[in-house]
Order: sequence, then structure tokens, then C-alpha cells
Amino acid sequence: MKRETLPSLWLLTVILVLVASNMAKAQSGSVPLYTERLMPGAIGQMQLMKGRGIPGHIQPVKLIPPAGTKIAPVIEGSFADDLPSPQTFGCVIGAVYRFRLSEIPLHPGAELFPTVEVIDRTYPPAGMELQFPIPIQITQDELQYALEGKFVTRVIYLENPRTAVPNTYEPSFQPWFEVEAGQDPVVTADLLGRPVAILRLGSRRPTQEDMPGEFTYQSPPIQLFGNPPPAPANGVEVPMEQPVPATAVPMQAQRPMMPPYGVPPQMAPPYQGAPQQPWYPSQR
Amino acid sequence: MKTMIALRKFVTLALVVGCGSTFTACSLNRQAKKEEAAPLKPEAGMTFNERYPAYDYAAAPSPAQVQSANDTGLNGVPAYQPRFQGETFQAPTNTATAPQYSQPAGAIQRTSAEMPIQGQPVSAQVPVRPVSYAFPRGQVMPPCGPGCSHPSSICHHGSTAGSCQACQAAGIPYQAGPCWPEDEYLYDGGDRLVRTEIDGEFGVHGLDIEDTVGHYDTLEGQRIVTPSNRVCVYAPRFAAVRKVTGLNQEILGTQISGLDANLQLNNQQHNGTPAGVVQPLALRGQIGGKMANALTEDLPGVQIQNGVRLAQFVEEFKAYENLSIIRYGVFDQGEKARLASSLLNAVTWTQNQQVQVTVEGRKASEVASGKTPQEFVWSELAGEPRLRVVKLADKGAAEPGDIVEFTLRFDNVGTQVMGNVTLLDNLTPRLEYVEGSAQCDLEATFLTQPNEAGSQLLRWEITNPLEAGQGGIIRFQCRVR
Repeated sequence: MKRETLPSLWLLTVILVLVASNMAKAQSGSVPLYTERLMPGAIGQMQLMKGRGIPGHIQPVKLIPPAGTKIAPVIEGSFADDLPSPQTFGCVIGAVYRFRLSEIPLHPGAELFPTVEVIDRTYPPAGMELQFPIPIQITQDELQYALEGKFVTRVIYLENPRTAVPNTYEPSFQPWFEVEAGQDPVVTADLLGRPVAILRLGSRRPTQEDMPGEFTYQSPPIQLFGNPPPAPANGVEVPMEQPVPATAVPMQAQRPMMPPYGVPPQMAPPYQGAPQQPWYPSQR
Repeated sequence: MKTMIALRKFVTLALVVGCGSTFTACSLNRQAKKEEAAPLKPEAGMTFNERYPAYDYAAAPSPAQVQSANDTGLNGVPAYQPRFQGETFQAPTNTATAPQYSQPAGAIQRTSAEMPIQGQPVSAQVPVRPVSYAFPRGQVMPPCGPGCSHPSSICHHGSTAGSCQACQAAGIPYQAGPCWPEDEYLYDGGDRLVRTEIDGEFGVHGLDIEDTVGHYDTLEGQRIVTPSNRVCVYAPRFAAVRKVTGLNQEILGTQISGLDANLQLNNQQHNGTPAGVVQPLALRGQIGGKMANALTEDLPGVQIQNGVRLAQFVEEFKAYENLSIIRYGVFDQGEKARLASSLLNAVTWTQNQQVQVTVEGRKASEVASGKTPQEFVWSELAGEPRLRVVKLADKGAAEPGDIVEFTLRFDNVGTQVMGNVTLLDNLTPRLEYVEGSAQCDLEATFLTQPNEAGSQLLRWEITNPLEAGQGGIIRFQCRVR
């Protein structure tokens, strides 16, 4: 009887081996290009090499630490004066910016030196670049972690609106996901949306042994935008052309316009013939 | 004997596997047939009272009064508007659509985002100049055929020049701007991905997220879906992925504190200071090995006799190559027929390699139901209805928490009454409908239903049929999440 069952067992074994080999073949791993192991600035430089029109673009970035914290950017190799938070800075994509956080709440005398790397740009309507910066929020517990000697990586990404979490958040709250050790925050953010900035917050401090410009990443150019007021509640009207009678405006013309490439928001008018105005075109 | 037993076992196993798969296929087939036999039901929660337009036979135009259609070459079949007008279609000017509907007299508060309807030039009533861009200079496109006679229609030339193949309503007056990239904008409107279809029981199929469509019934019994235009609101939302890692700094610190440096210093005290340094003598000379100063290479060359000859090329052209274009590169008109036959041969030779359809090992066969229509009743009615759905948003940019107001304007721009006008709006997950903010200037039933994206599907059922030239406004608010 055992001899008769032997061929069936052989057949079953062959089938199992085939199934196992098929499953092993299906595990074809993809190797991500952007990982957290890359040194600061590498992802941004590779983004610049993609040729998407982002070299030279000044991307507004808003640093939002806990209230009361002072922020000092690096200007020409040394830290500038402390500025109250939040602060909006104009950053070049691909560069790494060092900041100094001081007067941290509940930690008198403590200082932290986070870096911000902008790796992609946003495309807000013309004239509203400062109202839609990339928000980089630094929470109190993240400051606590950093002061304990831990290293915090925060990858800010743009949510895909079609697959976004259908939750209502406070405007001052930025939803975040925590990844464990062994998982890559850059890869995870790339799966969830489009990564735009990377915040690295750790125990790195300037020392005497630093080479000149090593700690400040050669102090890339930065623009200080201060703290722009929020957009008015009833929206902002973006004028399209020179004022003409409303009856003569075809409706196709009432569309938002793309901001020009490579022009900082306050350096040039957003379109041909636009007058220079401080914040909102509707306040003229 | 053993081999016989093994063979018998193998055959038994094969039979068991084969029968198992056959039973599964049979049960699936039976299930499919059962599903096919059951009547189609609308989606869950989408059951609506079917309201066909009450057709008044007394008031219906008699067949004698109907304008007899000219022979359009389509055997009397009127050219219906295609259900989906591509988004790339643009009216030449905006003035072609005349506001023929009656204005709602102040019932709804107007916002600044609404179209300046009063500002429209009144000269839109002038018949539209024939569009002749597709014709040679000096020729003008013939006027529209039957069914296209309303003033807000322009002609699209078809494949046969000189006859009006299809007419389309003069367009979407407002097209959203180039909202790019798509992950920074909230979209609403249009008919994305799968085309929306309404079945016979008002079941909605293919209504994707962000879609906004209107559908209506014609007097001829058609149920036509019209998508609106797309509007976009700049409202990027950022999120973050965080990773907290502990550095090895603490471990290093404990190692340093564990070292006792004083012991090493005590050890060094026992060493006497060096009294002198013995300097090794420098080398006076260096005896090197004799280097080879000459290298004589005397390799005899191996004679290689390459006896391989080129394969002989047949100088004569083959029979099918005996053409002027093959031989001399000169194309002869007389060879056209033979070239064509060669091409035909190529086609014939590849005939047996076409795709054979097999379904589960069996040949696919057509399945025809036993019911066939026994009688066709064909009646033509004058004109045709055509719905235009225009969508607007009151702001072009919004932050999370802001409220965006959308306006839907729907008009019957055709020449026939339409019934069961229904407008559907499937909201994107970042938009949340504000309860109680929907309003419509016509009598309508408003329904909401959660959709699969975590937002809501809004539905307006207009109670009364829309006469030709009549329209309405729908307005609702959404909160940006």
C-alpha cells in the first residue's frame, strides 16, 4: 500500500517545488533611487538633473516650530539674528539650509541646528507663492527627541488629493506618519505622495574642527520673507490682464495663470505689465 | 506491474484534477447564468422613482407636421449628438451661446464668481457665421442639416466633404485653466476615467471620483449623459513621514567613561627616558639585480590559411523580386498591381497566425438570447434636446478649512423638451459638503450619499421637464479638508 502512494507523493512534491519556485520568482524587488541613506543635498541635486525647470527657482518654505521659538538662518557663513517663528524663507532647490532654533519652550538655553533640504517645488497661482509655502512643522516632541540625542527625519510630501485621507484637520496641524526602524521615510513618502522637503533634526552641533562652510553647507542663498499675513477669507482675485471693460472679457480669459519659471516671487511681476504690489492684488 | 499501478495512479489524479476544475467552471457558469437572468438593479441606495415624461399624445405633433428630414445619406436616421464631447473642443467665441433661459428673479444670492451673464452681448441672436476653416478658400460650409437648426450650433465637417455630418452645441463657455500639477489642485467636474452610463433603472455606472454629470431623457426614450466642465481649486495639503532614530552617541559615552586613564599614566612612569638614539647607518650602495637590457623575441609567425570563402550569392533575382523597384530601384507604375498582390500574399500568409479566442479551453461562441424584438416603431420628433452643464468655483485657491462655493448651471440648449433631468456630483475626498448649503432655483429633489472616497455624492433630480432654452442654477458649498 505504501508503494502505491509513493508516485502520488512524488507528484505532490514536484507540484510544491514548482509553486515555491514561482513564488520566489515573483519577489522581484525594486531598488528605490531616493533613500534616506543619501547624504543631505544628494536628492535635491538629482532632482535638478531631471531637467524639470526647477534650477534657480526660489521655493518659499515656512518653518513652523512651537510658538516662542526663535529661528536664525545662515547668511554668508554665519547665523543671522534670531527671528520669531513662524518664518518664511525662500530656498533654492537642491541646497541644504542650516537653521538655528533657540529659546525652545521648556528648554531654556538649548539650541538645535536642523537642516532643511528642498527637493521639489510647488506651482501656486501667480501672486500667491507666499500664501502657499511648503510648511515644515517641528513639533515639541520632535525637539524633545533631538535634545535627547536622537535623530529626527521628517519628509514633507504633497498629498495626492484623490487618495488623500478624508479627514478634516486643523489648519495649523500637519498630519504625519511614523515609520519604524528599518523603514525608509523617503521611500514611504514617495509612495504616499510627492516629497518636497526633508527636515533633519539631530544632535549635530558646530565644533571647532569643522571645515569652513561644512556646518552651514556653504551657506546657499536664502531669501527672508518674514511672516506673510494669511490669505483673506474671501479669496484672492488674481487679475489676468490690463483692466478692460468686464463686458469685453471673454470667459476663457478668466483662468489662473502659471507662474513663470525661475523667477522669485518678489523679484519680478508675475505676468507682463503687472504693477508691483506688496501682498495681494485685490488690495489695490 | 509497478509501472501499471503508477500509471493508474497518475490517470486517477489527472481525472480528479480535471473533474474538479470542470465542476468549478460549471458552478461558475451556472452562477453567471443566474445573474444574467436576474433583472439589473440599481446600485445600493440609488433607487429612484422612475419618472418618464408624461407624453401627451394629443399635443404631440402629427407625423404630417414633422419637418421631413432631407436625405442626409444616413437613411433617414437623424444624426444624434455624440454622448461625450471631448474636452478639447472649444467654441470659436463665447458669444455663440445666447442666454435663452429666463433669469431666476433674485431668488439666489449671486456671487462674484458667477459668469457675467448680463454682460453677454445681445448680438448673440444673430445667426452664427458658417465656420469655413476646414474648407478650401472660396467655399463655405453648407448650413446645418435637420436637427441642427438651433442658432447655437456650429457644424463639424465630417469625412464626406460638403455634408453636415454632426453638429455640436456651441461649446463649453468656461474651461478651467491649466491646473498643473494635478496633485496640488482639487478637481471637480467632468467625466474622468470610465465614461458614466445610466442604465434603464436609473442605476449609475462609471461615476468616478470628481465626476460631475447631468443626464436626461429625450422624448424618443434615449437617456443621455452630459459631463460638465472641470474646475480646479489650488489647495495643496502637505503631510509628513517621520522617523526617529537613536544615535550611538550614548553607547560611546559609556565606553569612554569606563576607561581609566590614570593606569596608563602610571605605566609610563616606569619607562625611563631614552638616553640616546642609535641612528642606523645609511646605505652606501645598492646592489640591484641585473636588469634585462634586451629582449629578443623570435616567435615564428604561424601561417594562417584562411580558406573560408564567401557564400555564393545567387545573382539571379527570384521570381517575386523581379521588379523594377527591386532590381534598379526605379518604381514603375506598371508594377503597382504586382506589388499589391505581393502585399496580399503577405497578408494571406499571416492569416493563420491571428489570435484564436479560447475561453477555458473551449472555443468562444456567441450566446444569443431567445428574445428578439418583434416590432419596431419608429417615429421622428422635431428637434433634439441637448444639455449643457457648466461648473464654476468661487475661488481659485483655498487652504484647508476654507469653504468653496460651486455653481452648476445647466441649460437645455437644444430644441426639444427633456425630462428626468438629473445632476450628479461625486466629490473628491478633500472636499466635504457643507450640510444644508445646496440650493436650486428649480424645483428639485436633493439627495446625498457617501461615496467610496470618504466624501459624498450629491444628486439633484429636477422635478419638471426642461423646456428648450430653459435652464437652472445649482449652488452648494464645500469645505476643503
